[in-house]
Amino acid sequence: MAGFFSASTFRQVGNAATTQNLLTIENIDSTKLVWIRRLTVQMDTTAVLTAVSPLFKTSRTTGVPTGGTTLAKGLFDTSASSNANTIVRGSTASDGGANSGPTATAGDVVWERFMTRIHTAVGQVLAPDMSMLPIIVDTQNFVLRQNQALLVHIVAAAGTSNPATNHYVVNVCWEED
Amino acid sequence: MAVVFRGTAESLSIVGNDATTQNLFVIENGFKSRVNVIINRLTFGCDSLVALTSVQNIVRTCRCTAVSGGVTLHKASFDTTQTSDANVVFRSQNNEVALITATAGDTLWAQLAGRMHTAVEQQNAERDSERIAERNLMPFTSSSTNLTVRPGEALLVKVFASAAASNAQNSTNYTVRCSWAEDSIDTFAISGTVTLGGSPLDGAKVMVIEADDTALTNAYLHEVKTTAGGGLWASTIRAGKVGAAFVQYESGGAYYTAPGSPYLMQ
Repeated sequence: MAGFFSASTFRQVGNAATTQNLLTIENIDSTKLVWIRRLTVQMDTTAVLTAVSPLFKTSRTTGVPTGGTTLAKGLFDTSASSNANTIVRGSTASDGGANSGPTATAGDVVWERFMTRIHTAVGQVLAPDMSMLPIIVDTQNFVLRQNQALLVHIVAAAGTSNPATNHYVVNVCWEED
Repeated sequence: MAVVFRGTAESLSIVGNDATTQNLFVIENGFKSRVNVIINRLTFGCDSLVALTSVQNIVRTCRCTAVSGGVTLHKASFDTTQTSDANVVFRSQNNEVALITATAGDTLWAQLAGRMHTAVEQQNAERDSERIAERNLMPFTSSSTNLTVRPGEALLVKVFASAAASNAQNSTNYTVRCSWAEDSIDTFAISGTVTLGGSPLDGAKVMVIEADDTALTNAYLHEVKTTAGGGLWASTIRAGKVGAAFVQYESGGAYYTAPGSPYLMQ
């Protein structure tokens, strides 16, 4: 049913690997479209990193994601219900819990950006919204058609750049046909 | 319908509660309300007074039920000619004096709160969250992503900490603020004439009841009208709801009553 919806991951910790899938959103409906309106990552890091920061990428996927934790979908208006064929997945079912996916194969990269690191562990650490799609998708449709998905994932130069002392929260807001 | 009010509300300055969860702020649209609440902006500030070297707290916006407690906040208007619906209520925790009780539902948005790794130099407790996409408690968008709180619904802003020590009392201070619009709900008119002994009667009291359905779910007294101009009275019922009206009248110590028509519907 048409309307706006959102989902938010639990706090996900770094997996000490060079790649990590943080969130997927998929549309498996044969007739309905999904338009992404906002996609953000926030990051906290409690350990010093003097090497290059992990790179965060938003990619279309090849194939439909599986696994992970299916996230609850927030309703912007309770008069509208989200299509069951719109599925959002994170990697854990609790703040700081064990990672378990989602499994997805990254295809074309749509957007990428660095987040943050602390070169020395002093002073204030903020975690602003980092847009994982250009802000223009707010008004210009970024479309997920049947069996299409977006993946937010990390590509780190080394596993040590993505330690368990890194913490990630991903938010997504979308509109349904 | 039409926007009949625009306003803002701000929480008190709230200190941490030495616990892993803390309810900060509630936007409540009472079931009697005649407006839908459209949230335009919902942001927070966080000032950390001591260092925190572990992960920062998360502030989440959730739908919620079973709301009580806290202190009721003033509603500031964009235009003083407009009046907010009395059933639209904003609540803030007042530290240990007035706690908010609410049952959190699905999360709509989450935001890390910030921290000081070491207590040095400047603390940006408040960046201008109206201009940069930071400390938002709902998506920062310009499209018509109307976050709507309908009558009988509420939103909760709540802190989640990884450990109670991360949300220590007197080490963290929060503020929450909201800008919203009230969109009037369609109504239909009901009216009648009260008579006594066949003659129109002024001064009679007509009690107008409104309910969700014919089972009288959430029935409440909408208003009391006094007949005038030849026993006339008129009121409104929200579209999709059910109305009822009955009459009470007293004259010289004599009491009268009269039933209304059953189930006034559109």
